[in-house]
Amino acid sequence: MKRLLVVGLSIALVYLVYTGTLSVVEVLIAVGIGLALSRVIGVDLVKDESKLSVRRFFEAVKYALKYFTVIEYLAHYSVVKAILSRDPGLKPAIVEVPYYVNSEIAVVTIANSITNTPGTVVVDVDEKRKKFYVHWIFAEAFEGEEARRGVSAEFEEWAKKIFD
Amino acid sequence: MRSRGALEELGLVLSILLGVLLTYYLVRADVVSLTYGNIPLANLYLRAVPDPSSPFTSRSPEVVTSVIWDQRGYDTYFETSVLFIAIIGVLYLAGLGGGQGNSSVSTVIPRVIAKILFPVIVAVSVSVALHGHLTPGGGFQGGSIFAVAPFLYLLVFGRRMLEGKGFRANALVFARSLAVFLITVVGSIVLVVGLLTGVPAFLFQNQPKPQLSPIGYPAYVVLPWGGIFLFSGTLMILNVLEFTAVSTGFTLALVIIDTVTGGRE
Repeated sequence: MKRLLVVGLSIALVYLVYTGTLSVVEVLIAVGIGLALSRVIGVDLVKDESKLSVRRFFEAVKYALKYFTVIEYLAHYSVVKAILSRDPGLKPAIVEVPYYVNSEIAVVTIANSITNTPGTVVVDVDEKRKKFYVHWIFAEAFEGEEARRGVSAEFEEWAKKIFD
Repeated sequence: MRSRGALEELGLVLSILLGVLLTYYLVRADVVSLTYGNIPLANLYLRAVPDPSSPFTSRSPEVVTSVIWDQRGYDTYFETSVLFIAIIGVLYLAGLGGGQGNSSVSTVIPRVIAKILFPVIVAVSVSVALHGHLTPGGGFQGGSIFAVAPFLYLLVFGRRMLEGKGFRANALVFARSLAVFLITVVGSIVLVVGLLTGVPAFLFQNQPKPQLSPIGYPAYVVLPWGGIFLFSGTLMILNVLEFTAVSTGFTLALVIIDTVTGGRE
């Protein structure tokens, strides 16, 4: 029930934002489409209904705010500095970064967070061994905890709080 | 089994009735005569396109091709571009699995992203179809957008998952046939009412035509709370039906192609 409503209303929101009008008829259509779709694919999106909580939602909002301001700013700053400086200090390498989260969506959140910040790109993921392969232009370590600390430790903390 | 047979017979009778009705109308409206007297636009093209002395000539006896590539060539160019881009998109998505004969299921990233994109694509496609009478878009455009969602599922999860969601070949054929049938019904209701009441009316008529035909579809309804819901007569109804026909048609084609080529289970 909670899954049906949360997924349905999220889809309704997507419909209304895309449509760009807010009238009684549009809201009714949006909710109708949202609930109908939610019945079909709700189980794909929310595997464990008990994980839907207000606390996790606000963690996600907090993460989004911090990610798109502070984290993005710092990552852009270091890359811009390297581009403009005489001695950029590049050390490009593909490094092996372990992760410890379990849910699929947490893994993807970490991977997207890594790729979206300049300087690091996830090129592959090994789900059996739980490792990301990341191209890092300032490689400080090639594998293990040290690489994780430089690339994904903070993202993983947030992903754990939001999804795991 | 018995009810299915009855349904098929009903379908046959309705198809024959529609055919008779269309033929009657075409003859009555003088569309199938050879005089062209009542269709000045067609007359203009038929005269001007092959006539070397006309400023609109294409020096070709084939008027349809001339119109498509000459008089409205710009439009055709962009249609071709759209198709080209759509095919590039399909090839790109189909190539993501990597290598020939590689039947491995994709990694966690496309799996999760496909699940998130599915409802977004469907919500956008419905909006494009429902607002076809207000903003650019319509049933065909919305239906084409919709088909991307099942295509993603087909590539990432395989056919069985898609069939589990209700996208089965017979259900798709049924929805598509029903939609196309209802398009014909919506397009001929005004004509049928006109024939029954002895008032002049046209095939695929939308609004009443001053001096020509006093009947037609309403353009809007007043809602119980006072607002006005504009659906522009047949336009919104036909867009919804076209959306159903195109989305199920494209999905059906993709499912059938996947069946024939063996898919990636």
